Amino acid sequence: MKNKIKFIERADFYLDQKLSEKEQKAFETECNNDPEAKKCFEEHRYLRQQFALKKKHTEARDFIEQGLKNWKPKQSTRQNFIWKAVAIAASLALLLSITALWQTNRYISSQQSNNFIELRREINNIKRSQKDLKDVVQTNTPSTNTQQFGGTGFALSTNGYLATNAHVIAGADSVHIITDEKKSYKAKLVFQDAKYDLAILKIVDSTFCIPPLPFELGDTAYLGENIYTLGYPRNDIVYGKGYISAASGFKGDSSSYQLSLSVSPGSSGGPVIDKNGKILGIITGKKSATDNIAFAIKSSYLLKIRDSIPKELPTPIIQSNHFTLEHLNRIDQIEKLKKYVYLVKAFK
Amino acid sequence: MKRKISKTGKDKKILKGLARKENKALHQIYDLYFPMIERMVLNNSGNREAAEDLFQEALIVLYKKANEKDFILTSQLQTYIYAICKKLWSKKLRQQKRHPIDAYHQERETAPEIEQDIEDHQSEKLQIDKLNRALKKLGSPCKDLLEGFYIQNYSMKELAEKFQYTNASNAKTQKYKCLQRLKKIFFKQEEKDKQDE
Repeated sequence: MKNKIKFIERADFYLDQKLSEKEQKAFETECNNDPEAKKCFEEHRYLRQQFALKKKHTEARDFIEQGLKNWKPKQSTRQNFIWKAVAIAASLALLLSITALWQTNRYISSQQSNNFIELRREINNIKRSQKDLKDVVQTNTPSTNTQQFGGTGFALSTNGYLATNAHVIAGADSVHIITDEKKSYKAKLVFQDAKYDLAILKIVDSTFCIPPLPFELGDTAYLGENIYTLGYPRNDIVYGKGYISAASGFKGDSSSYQLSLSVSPGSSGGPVIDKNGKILGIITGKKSATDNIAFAIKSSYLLKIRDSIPKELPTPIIQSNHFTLEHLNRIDQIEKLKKYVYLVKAFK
Repeated sequence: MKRKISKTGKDKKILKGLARKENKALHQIYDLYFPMIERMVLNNSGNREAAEDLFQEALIVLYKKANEKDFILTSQLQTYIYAICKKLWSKKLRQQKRHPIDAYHQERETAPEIEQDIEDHQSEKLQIDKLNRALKKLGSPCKDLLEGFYIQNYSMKELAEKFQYTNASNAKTQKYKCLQRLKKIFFKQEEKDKQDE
């Protein structure tokens, strides 16, 4: 081992397997014969192993660091994970609250409708098939592609004024009156009062004329008084009887009576008549949760309207003084009265 | 030692790519498995940076393994990475005298071959650490010269240019001198470490 520099160089070549077979053998022999050379080589080999490990490690680390440099994980980092969770939770919460709100709303509105139902009737829902529509066109009848609502009305004068509920004709484009004898008349709205749910209509046809009214508008009714009503929950006039069960209406409304009376949609606007044929009120609605509880606006409010708005009623509503119903039995009363009670059809 | 065939072709493909130093494979592994490791670290008194460091170390182990000719993954890649990270992290926690990794993670037993890989990695790291310590003591430019030759594999001629020696032979002499000094430091250090033990 004369030249140590040379020896180490050869040792490196030997370890890197860069020596020829002959040189390799010579190197091995030298190491075997010279303990100093052998020790030197062993130490060198050991150190080289450490370097090899470090090299491998450095290589790996460099590759990974370089590979991950300037690269962003696709998704699913913790932050995104949290955001995702938050987003999901938030949308769930939103959905829940919307659903809850909607349900509450529905509940409230259903409660409301549970408490009070206006009794106008939907005459045709216009959910006709196309065939029906085609038939209509072919037979050249006026298109019925409108909504029809029906209620009841009764005469206030001989020359075509009549009373009904404001909700029956609410939003209507045109209103028609059909008499007991199935005669149809066009009517116009003269006055309406949404607060008391009252409307006054006038039949446009000037030839319309009826005999003097056999009844008057009464102003007081007594608790327990028997009453009856005539109305159009169907296309034919329907009689119903009951009694006044409370002097106030829905939720203590003092402008109404509560009636024990079976009513159905279409009864709205019908007169509440006492045994003498006096009109005590006008049916407006019913309590849906229970059968046989109806409400009627007191006829005194109708009187108030008549007195307060003469200007809007160019032809005064004529109050009849013929109390010709008083001594008649129920059947005869109805026979007379039904000429003054009409089906009100509102078209939208 | 040959090992059983990996369960999924996907894992095999990723490992092949990793061995070929394909960045795509690296990113795939990261996307697939980093969230899992991050969760483990975050749940065991670590932060994101610690999770990243840990994951990179696991990647180093995996990369080195992938480069071994007879290495075939016995378990799923996911299991392998998780086991490596779990071991490395609980070791780190023990070093820091922090709470050991939580019971759930502790319970799961590690496959013996994975255990072996981790041990190998640890002992390699210790050895590298020793070399690094010696190299640090040696200082520049000797350290850089030796690293240039034995790690970056520069030729003597390239090193002569880099370190501004007159020629390759001069560089060779310098390298020899540096190496002798390193040996002295390194083996002295080895002896001292043995005594300490």
